Amino acid sequence: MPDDKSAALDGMIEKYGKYVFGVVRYFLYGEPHETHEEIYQEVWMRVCRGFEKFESRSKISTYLYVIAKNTVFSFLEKKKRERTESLEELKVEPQAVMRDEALRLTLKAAIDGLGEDEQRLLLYKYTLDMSCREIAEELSLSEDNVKQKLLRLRRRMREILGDCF
Amino acid sequence: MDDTAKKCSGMEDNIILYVDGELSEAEKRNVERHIESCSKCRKLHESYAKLDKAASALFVSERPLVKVRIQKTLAQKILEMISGLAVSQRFAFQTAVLAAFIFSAFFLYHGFLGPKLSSKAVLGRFVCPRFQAGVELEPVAGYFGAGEIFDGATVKAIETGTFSSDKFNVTFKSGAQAKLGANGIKLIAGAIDIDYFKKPAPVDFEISTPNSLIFIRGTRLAVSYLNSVTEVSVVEGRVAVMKKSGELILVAGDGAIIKKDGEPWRLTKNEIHVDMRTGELELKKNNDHKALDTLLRIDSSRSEKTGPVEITVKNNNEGTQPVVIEKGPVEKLFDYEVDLNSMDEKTRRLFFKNKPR
Repeated sequence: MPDDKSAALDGMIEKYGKYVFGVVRYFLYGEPHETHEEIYQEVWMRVCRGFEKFESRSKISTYLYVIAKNTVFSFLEKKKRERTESLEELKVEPQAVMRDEALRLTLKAAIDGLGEDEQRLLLYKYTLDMSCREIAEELSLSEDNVKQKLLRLRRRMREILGDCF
Repeated sequence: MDDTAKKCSGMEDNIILYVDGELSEAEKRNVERHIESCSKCRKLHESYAKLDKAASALFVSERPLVKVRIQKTLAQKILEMISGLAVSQRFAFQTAVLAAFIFSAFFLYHGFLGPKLSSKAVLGRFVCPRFQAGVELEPVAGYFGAGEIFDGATVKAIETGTFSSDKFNVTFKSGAQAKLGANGIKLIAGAIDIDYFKKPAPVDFEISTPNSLIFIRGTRLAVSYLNSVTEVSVVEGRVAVMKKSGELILVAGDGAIIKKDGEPWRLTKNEIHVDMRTGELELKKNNDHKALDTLLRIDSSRSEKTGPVEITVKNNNEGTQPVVIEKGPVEKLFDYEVDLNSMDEKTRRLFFKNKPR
């Protein structure tokens, strides 16, 4: 088997690994890190399985996003089914951590309320550390469009989080 | 103050872009200078930096990204998962290529085929226009062309295909399904030809069907399992078919059928098989039409007919023209020598009503 094939896959994980992990982490925020890793593995397995449905006209990142999101939701479904009556232990966190966490959770609630396109803009930005120009290329949009969208997003987020700062 | 306010206008966007690292060096210095002197914008910068950190934390873990690993059990899951492939028609070809690529790349990449993660060795190679293969009993993954077969994998040939290894080759007739292992072959359905060419053949190489167990003795043979009946015919070498007590030894040219009860019934050379449902009588294998040692085998269990029967003889070796046999007592229409002793009583009565033995 030629090396370029394994290299291609290598490249895909290399390029989009963080992005996929970001989707998992975001949607399962609050779950332990180990769960994120487990679901992350599962996503790549699903990528293998579902590749026949992949149409070249959809972008790899879009495809991965959908797979990752679906994997997360099947996990949540399963968890819901398996949840027992027992009360979960309350974790006592240091105050500073609590404040950070409160900010993050409020922010997450704000991002939850955004459209999928906007969420994905943030994903590109934070997981892949992409510049506006790179995101624009990835999404076939103009750089200015992406820039304005991201600016608007942040301003809105800051407004929502006003009380937390 | 007016001056600062003027400077502050449009500064918010620049602060965000500053946090994002999207500004040029000159623009950066400009923002830095401004937030040093303007407390309002300094606060704004702080809040955006905080926002950035919090947002980043929602997506990015402080811990390093885990390496994607597919373990054996996971790999098995993948095999199951790819099962949709074979039925996918719209993108069948594209799909197969993509899947094969991803699949092989994945396994190669993670060393599944290599010695590290693989507890199962590659047994051989299967070449078939279309087939399915899987590690569990049910074949699951769809393939086109060719693929490596693991020891213990089940293969289902959608079209005629050939498995080859360094010890034996197996030809799958279309539809045949069998589990292939270094120690034996488990025929689940359909017909296969086995050529165990490696000498000496191991005495414990076991060929099984749902109702029979066959051991080879350095052999070429054909085995089929259709309608709950196992049929074995030996081309070369010897074969032992397990009986309830002892074994039935078959040599080249011999055949046997094993019905539901699991007891083998020996067929001699050049068998004629009569399918009573269709009334067709088919000369199988390398039949010489004029052969005198042909056995007439009638599967009487499939018919309630008694007395004269109208049957059609098809000789595979003599083209497609069927020989039509007129109504009448069968023995009058055949030149064949019939081995009545190997027939059961019911069959004998059915066809040789007037001349019981």
